[in-house]
Amino acid sequence: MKLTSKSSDDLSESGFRAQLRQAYLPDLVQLECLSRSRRVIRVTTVDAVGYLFFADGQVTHASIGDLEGEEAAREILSWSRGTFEPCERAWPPRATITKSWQFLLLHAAQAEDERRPGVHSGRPQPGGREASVEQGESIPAPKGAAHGKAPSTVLRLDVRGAIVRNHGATEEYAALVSSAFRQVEMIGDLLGAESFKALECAAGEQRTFISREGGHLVAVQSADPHTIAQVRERLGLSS
Amino acid sequence: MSVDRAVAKVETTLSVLRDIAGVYGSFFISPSGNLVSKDLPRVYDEALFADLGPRLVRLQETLASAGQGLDTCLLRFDDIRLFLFPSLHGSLGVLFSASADLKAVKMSVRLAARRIGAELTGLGDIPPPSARRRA
Repeated sequence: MKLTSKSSDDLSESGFRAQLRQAYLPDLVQLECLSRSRRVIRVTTVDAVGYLFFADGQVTHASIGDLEGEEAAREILSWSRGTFEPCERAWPPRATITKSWQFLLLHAAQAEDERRPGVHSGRPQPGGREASVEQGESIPAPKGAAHGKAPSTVLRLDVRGAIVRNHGATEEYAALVSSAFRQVEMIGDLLGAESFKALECAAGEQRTFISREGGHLVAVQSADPHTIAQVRERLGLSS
Repeated sequence: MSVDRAVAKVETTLSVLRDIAGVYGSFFISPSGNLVSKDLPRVYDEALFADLGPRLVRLQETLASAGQGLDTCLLRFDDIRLFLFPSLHGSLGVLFSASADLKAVKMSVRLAARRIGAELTGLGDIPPPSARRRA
């Protein structure tokens, strides 16, 4: 993201102005939603200006001229060139977008896939809360399955975030795994670390593993101790 | 207790973690990602933490939003590992090699985080070192 200094008249409050580059607008949406900011972001592309309204951890409204709501949000999220910056703008009396921000990002990513010739999207359909289950997932392929339950979630993504295999993951979860991986890569870069191998996080009894296997990302969630041990062994994370 | 004294005590607590073989060093960041204190080689300077701290907080928020919160997080790279222990007062991070005893690291981190929490109680979100120096 290329940050540029703001001029005296283009920003009415402290904030930022950034050039759009590839996936940074989705990153911005995620950041604003996770930080639960209440803010309007003006997105300017070559021939149009759009506005995204963030409140209570969601995108609640979007507009481009007379176009409003989800349709406007989808259009703005499809823009790959331009700038974005915070601005002051009148808020609508009520939210015009009811879909989650994860839904909007996933839909935008699918639309981008469809625009690219020869690219088949493996992303889940936004209409379904849970992505489709595919048979044949070999991760974690627990040995001695009698000792462990199947993980609650097994997800395999390609490097662009498209789902290759899925069992039990929602569309929101797939977007979060992809986002977490990008963040870990940036953290590794800042630390001067070599390649990312795996992430393991704990929340109560539940363990989440995100690992890199070949050209894919694999995410596994389980709360079963035997399964967790098997996943660690399978992913080479025992030590 | 003043912020400066508390930060000095945090630094002392962090330095103890290097007694574990394979530990390169550690740091503590505030809930908003400001560097509170570090015990790391100088190459990991304050400027680096101005970027790193908020990114670590954002990663933790992302992971927490995917499930039932976040108790601990271990990042494994080919050469180093980073163990993160979030708490009410911020996050303790430890950088160590693959040869370090992970159980010893985790146990020590829990103890260190408890001590640091006691030092920082009531001090709010600690500003970054540059802001503390100006104050």
